[in-house]
Amino acid sequence: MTTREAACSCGQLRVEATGDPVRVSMCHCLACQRRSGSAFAIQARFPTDRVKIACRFNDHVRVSDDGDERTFHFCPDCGSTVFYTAGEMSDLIAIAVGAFADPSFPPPVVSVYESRRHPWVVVPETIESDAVWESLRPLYEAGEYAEVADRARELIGAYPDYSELLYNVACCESRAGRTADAIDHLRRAIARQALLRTFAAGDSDFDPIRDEPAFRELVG
Amino acid sequence: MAAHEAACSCGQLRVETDHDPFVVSMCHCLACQRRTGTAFGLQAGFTADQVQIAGAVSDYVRISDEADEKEHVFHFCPECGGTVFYTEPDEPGLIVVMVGAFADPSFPAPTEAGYESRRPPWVGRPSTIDPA
Repeated sequence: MTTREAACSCGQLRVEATGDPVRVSMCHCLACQRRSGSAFAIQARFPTDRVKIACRFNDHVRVSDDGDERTFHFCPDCGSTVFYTAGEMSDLIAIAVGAFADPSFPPPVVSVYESRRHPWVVVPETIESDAVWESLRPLYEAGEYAEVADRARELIGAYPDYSELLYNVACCESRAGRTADAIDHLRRAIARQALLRTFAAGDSDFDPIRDEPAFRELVG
Repeated sequence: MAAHEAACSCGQLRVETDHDPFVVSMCHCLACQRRTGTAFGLQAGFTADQVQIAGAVSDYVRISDEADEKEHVFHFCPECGGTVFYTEPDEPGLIVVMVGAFADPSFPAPTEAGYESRRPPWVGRPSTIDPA
């Protein structure tokens, strides 16, 4: 398996990650802009047991706009934040991709907080934009699951590889009693982003279909 | 109220200015990637008399790889690690502020790009950058 090393600017704080990341994402939120000093942040998540951390770091704790606590670990000598941990995903460590100093590092799969994106930043269409799901989110939050499933057909046609769109639509189909569609879309989502299998295992949106043999086979 | 206000993540270190930057540039060098944790550094140049700085700073000194081997002093917040600005001892009239610290997607776009050979291939070249 590939082993990659991330480091801060001065080289004091080093992190070694084995294997490929389970999720690479870019985030345009204002907090990521402040922390990075740049237009967006990019982070790669690895299972904690595949990451080795050496040397000293200080912590900055921040509660995200969604209410989740994040602890950012930075080098006390040069200030670089090399990795962070999140309470609700305690088995994953997020490493700041720039710390690998490797332009060939796997590109992001998803782009979040697109509403805060600097307009001149060019994001290729191959990177999933959360703006696509944002158009359906109010209906999801209102519990209009069948309505989301109906409207999503066109979006999935336009963005057939957007794993998190497929996942969210599968959630709605599960709740709307459309079992076959839910399993088909969840299968496609997991094929593109394996981490979504773990999410599905603990997501109450899938409770209505959790005992289906096809769901159990897919999620375990 | 100042035209532009920059701050670190925790808000301890702040930079204010009533002026627009004389240049905004992006840099894809590996040192900027490590410092920012992302695909490029993004910075706005001001003259020293145009900005007010408040808060405690820690310094990290780095000598540039470029032929001039110029010294850069990065000023970061000791509480949260956020680098808010840098200075160059050889250019005492210059203050370079990290654009992300303004947390303002309407901040002026970059018109220059450095170290484009290090740009990750999936990062698009903004149309605001002058042709190479």
